[in-house]
Amino acid sequence: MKTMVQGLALAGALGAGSLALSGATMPAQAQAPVCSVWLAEGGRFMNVPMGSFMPDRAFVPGSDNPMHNINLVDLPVNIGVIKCGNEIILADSGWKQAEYHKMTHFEHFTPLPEQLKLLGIDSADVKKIVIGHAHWDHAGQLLDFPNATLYVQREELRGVEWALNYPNPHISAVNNSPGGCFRSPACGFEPLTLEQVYGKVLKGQAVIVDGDMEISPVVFIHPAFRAHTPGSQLLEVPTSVGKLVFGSDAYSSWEGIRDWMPANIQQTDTVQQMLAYEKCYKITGGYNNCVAAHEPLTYTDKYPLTKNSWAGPNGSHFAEIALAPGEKSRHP
Amino acid sequence: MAFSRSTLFLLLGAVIALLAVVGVSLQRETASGTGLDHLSVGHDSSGHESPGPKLPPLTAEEEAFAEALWPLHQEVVEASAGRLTSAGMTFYADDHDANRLVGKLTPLRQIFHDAQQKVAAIAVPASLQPVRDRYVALLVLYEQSAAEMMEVARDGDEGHLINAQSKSEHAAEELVKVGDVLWPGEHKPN
Repeated sequence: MKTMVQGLALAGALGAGSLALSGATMPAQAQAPVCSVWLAEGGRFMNVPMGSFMPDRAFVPGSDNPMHNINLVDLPVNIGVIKCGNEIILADSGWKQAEYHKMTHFEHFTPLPEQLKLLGIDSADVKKIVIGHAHWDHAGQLLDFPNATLYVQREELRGVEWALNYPNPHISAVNNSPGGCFRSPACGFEPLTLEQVYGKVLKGQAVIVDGDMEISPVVFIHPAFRAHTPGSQLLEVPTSVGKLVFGSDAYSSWEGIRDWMPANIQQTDTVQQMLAYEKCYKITGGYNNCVAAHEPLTYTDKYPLTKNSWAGPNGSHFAEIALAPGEKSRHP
Repeated sequence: MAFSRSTLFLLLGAVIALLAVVGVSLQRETASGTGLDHLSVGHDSSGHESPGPKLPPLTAEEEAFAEALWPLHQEVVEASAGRLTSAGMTFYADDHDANRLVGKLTPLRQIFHDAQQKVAAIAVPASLQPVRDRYVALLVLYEQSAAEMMEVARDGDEGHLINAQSKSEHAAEELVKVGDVLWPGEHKPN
């Protein structure tokens, strides 16, 4: 009993202390700006072998081991739509080249400006686009956002230049070979995608980032070099559900982050990819708020951050992740 | 949420505020899930549409043309197109070394020039003549783009880069469209 009383007293003291601290800090917390965040599914790669996406979970015929009993997966292409105050920021820009869709078992494509319109956002109002990397399925559609400034790491541009000019043709190979690109260093940097990035650079609508950068109050870029490509980068965004980190293909699989397994290995140093995972744990306090670009469970309850989802045009999906105070829900 | 808690502090006092904090914590814990329900793929498979209309298969003659053009396209043109763009980007955004830029572009310009003649020399069925013409035209655009970019070294006017980029961007778009006719499936996702 005495112990219990002592315990209650201690709890009261701690509570009072917490109260004092909270009272001191709450006004600042209440004023800290947070952003609204939605996900838009730019399309979906269909029937991708699980083993090519996550080697540690390669399919074993007849296996009842949950690690090895999935043969094919459909991979969404997730684009982050972020609204901080009146500023609209995109995390990746998906891809557009319609001809590619027929080539790659890609379905449910809807132009990003049309998707944004359904979220009540005019593409002309998009001010910043942070591409996690410059691969063609993440840095497309740039020209549809004429007022947007592109953020790309200098390390990415240097990596592209190095890879494309490497004297060994196997290493400088581009990825239009039937059967795949075999993960060459130049893989994924298609001429048209590079042109769109270059166009932004030439028009003075690009910021070449060197490492970390605050791109607007409370929104930060963090480098994740070689976590997927030479100059991969992460985007930290504060929201009412805590900080989010968009990882593009450094975070292709949310399950991969949770289970510490590499995913979508391209120009990837798996050590750097795991360090990028760790970065999300450090910033957000866990794995739940890591936003993965191709997680098959996106828009379901099994990826809790994205469970508040609904069907979009052409079989695509949206998810509402967080709303800033006063922001109205877009969920129909 | 922080605003609500702050309001509670003002209105309801210390004890109720502490309860609110505890409540919020419990809510977040609940919302975070157990992490144990990941063992099956659960994506929404409803509403999937069939792929777009497929192109008709190529005839034997058309296949022969596509096969003959393929090595040039895959090993030379696509790679050179990326190098051209990257060269301009590196110059403009990184080293500003005009001599180095010219050093990169001189052989690329020649490659695009020579490729025009090589493509023109490949026997083409009448049905693909327009495709071949488009392919040659895009090579011309790339050659012109390289030449225009090299003008920067002559007069220092970086406006040449903008003119050159409009050409190479159009050429890159054409490269995709022509490739779709001749080699559907040539590109893979990343």
